[in-house]
Amino acid sequence: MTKRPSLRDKISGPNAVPIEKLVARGDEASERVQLHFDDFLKLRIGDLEALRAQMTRDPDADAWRNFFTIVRDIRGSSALAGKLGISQFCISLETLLQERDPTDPRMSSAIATHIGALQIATQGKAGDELSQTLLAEQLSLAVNALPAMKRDFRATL
Amino acid sequence: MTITKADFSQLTILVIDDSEFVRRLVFEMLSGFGVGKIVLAESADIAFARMDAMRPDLIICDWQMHPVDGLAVLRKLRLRPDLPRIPFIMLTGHRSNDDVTTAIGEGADSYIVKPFSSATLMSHLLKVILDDNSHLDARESWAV
Repeated sequence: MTKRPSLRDKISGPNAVPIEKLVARGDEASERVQLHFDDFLKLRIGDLEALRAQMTRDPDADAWRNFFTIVRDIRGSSALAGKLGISQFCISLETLLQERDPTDPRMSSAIATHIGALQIATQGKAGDELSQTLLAEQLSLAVNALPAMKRDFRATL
Repeated sequence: MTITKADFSQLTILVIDDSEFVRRLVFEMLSGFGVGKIVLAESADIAFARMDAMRPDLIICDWQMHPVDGLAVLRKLRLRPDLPRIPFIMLTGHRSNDDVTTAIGEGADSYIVKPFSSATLMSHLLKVILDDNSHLDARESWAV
């Protein structure tokens, strides 16, 4: 068995490039991906709408868990894409899903309102960052008006 | 000690994240850095299967995954007696000191809070690489 080189040795090859140049290449690559964020978001919102219909029909279905996973995905992705307003909408929606009674008759409309906010944002009609923060606060107030009930969508290995 | 130049072409990095967008973003950033081999996994199960097949030099893993989160991946990884200690960077939306302490306590080597830039990713990569002593691990189990 050959002894494994250290990671430091592995990155110290003769073709080493200045770190700042590598970071600039990473920035360019990142910008290219972020240009496609809106397309990604529209697809994911479509997934949410489809699942919402399923959740309404069958409150016990895995649809709730899948819906939550997509909201998490959008939150993480939007934060990385610098869309902090969208991320805030998702945080409010996660609270709704995890900490409010799913059988409350107002639940469905509360979820629909959050999806509506996401749609407005994708259409560029949610205004500037301040407007989006205010909208997120309104969504949170609506969530807080519902009865509390903890749900845990996580699992361990 | 710091370095001013690097050649990542000999590195293999495993990226574990259940978000397609995040996987793609991290993949593109690492590609931009010139990382030789980037392997993507969308779940813990797939990650462990790929780990057994390709033995990464370093792992970047999201914490908030479903159904198995990044902390569970890290715990399982650190309990594997057949694997040397693979440097592990936790990617997360959690900002609290308690979360950092938890991740480091479980064996994470670094901790990146989203959103992050290419410069942040590079800085954590270099920190982990320069601190790494895994090549001295007695559980040497893969050839080069």
